[in-house]
Amino acid sequence: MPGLITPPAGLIPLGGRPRLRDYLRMAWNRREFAFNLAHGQFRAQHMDTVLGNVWQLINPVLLIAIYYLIFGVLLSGARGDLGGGDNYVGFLGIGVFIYSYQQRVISAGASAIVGNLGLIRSLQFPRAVLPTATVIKEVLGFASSLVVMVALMAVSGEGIHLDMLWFPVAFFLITAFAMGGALVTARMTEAVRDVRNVLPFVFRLGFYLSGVLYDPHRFIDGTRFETYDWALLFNPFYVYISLARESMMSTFEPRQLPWIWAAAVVWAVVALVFGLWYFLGAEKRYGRG
Amino acid sequence: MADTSTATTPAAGVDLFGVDPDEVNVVLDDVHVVYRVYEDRRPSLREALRGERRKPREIHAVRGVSFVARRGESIGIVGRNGSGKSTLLQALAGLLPVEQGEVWARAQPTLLGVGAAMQNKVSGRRNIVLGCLALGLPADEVDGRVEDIIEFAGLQEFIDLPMDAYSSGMRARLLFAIATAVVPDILVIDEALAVGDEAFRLKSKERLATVREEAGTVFLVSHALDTIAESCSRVIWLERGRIIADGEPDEIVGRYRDAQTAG
Repeated sequence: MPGLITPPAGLIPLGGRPRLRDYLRMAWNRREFAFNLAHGQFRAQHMDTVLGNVWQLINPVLLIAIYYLIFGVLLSGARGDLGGGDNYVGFLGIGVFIYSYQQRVISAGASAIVGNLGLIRSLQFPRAVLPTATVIKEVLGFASSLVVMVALMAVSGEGIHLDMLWFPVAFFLITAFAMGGALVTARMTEAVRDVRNVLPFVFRLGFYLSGVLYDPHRFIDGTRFETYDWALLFNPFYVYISLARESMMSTFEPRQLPWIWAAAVVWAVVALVFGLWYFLGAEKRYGRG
Repeated sequence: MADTSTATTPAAGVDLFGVDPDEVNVVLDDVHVVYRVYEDRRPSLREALRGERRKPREIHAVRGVSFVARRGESIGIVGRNGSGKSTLLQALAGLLPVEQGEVWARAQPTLLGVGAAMQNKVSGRRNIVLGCLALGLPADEVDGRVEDIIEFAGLQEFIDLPMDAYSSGMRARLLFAIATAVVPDILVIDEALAVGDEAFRLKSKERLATVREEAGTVFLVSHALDTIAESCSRVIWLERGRIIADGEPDEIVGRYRDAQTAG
């Protein structure tokens, strides 16, 4: 029968879920750990290739070149303006960069637990540090994308302008949302490894539905919105891509402004809170299965 | 067995088995741990379509263990394979949920298990840095400790090799050195010392003594009965998930040994 022993003051019960405040404080104390881990993973990821981390730059540039060739050149006459007005390549470029950044963060989250089982089994620390480290790794990787993105804006006629100062705010919200997603995929993959095989298809679908290649407004009748249209417009990926376009392109005017900033903040908060809650639900189980 | 009654049921009115509350580091109160294991076969398509859920097998590994551990104690746990020793340690470290009962501790215990490998592809040196940071040491302190840890683990020659090139003994030494770099309040060791050589055994014994001197508590599971007898101040004998004896190392180890040879 439990309850025979009354524990003296000063002892803490083990095995339960820690209070959120204590948990976050412990995680914050390990921020150096997260940075160190992220930096190591970042350096290691392209170590076996000749060009190394230059691939971080080449990958999206090649993608943009292919999409531009097909949709901007070969099919340009078929449907008229797909988006971005005169600057389709800028429109497309931001779409590809932002979408692939979100995809990378959320997919990398899937390996955060299952890829670090050695650490988990060796040492005790708040496990949420691991998905955080993968997010930091992708933020580091985005630095080179940012350079290309700004250069693309400069040569495609947008120039360098003051609105670009909004981009860091947009990027912060994008990252917060993606981190929520990474926390979710981290736990899901730990429970069912197959999730990793499904994710590429989910993101492929998202790619076509989130206005990377075309502006969904071109296909929506502005006078009456169907449920389906709302789903298209408030899809978080589309919201964040539009947010980035708005700050980077002086010619871009998303029509659902000003809600778009509100939508971006709401999506980020919801994703992060849900992700943390979901991830912490299995905190004690990680590393044992 | 005279000590059985004191080990499993506290005498009426006597709290904490008579231990001074300020001396207590860990309390286990009627702890039960149940594993649910699924059979190692995939459900057939027919079962899946009918929505038949696989029924897990329940393994009741720890069945009602209660004891109170003091500051400065080092407690050895002996028992045959499958007696619930490792499970008990994991519950003690807060890594396994308990089915029933409570585990209380003065601080989060540090668990050292055998076969843990940290980051396999990465050098021992980087693993030391990562490990110290993961344990919450501030970065400016870590640099100062790296050399001490390398020396303690005796890995000066191999420290820049990736960890998957290490032998199991080298790995265990490195992990022990990292986990005890900051003297933990409660240290839980599961067989991790068994793979070290003689020189390391002496060094680790000293470090365990430091933990105890600083008012910590050490738990040690090992099949090396001599190690238990010489480095523990108290021994608990587990059998089928229950405590069957709890007391002086020499006495309990002696009785355990007799039971093994007799059985």
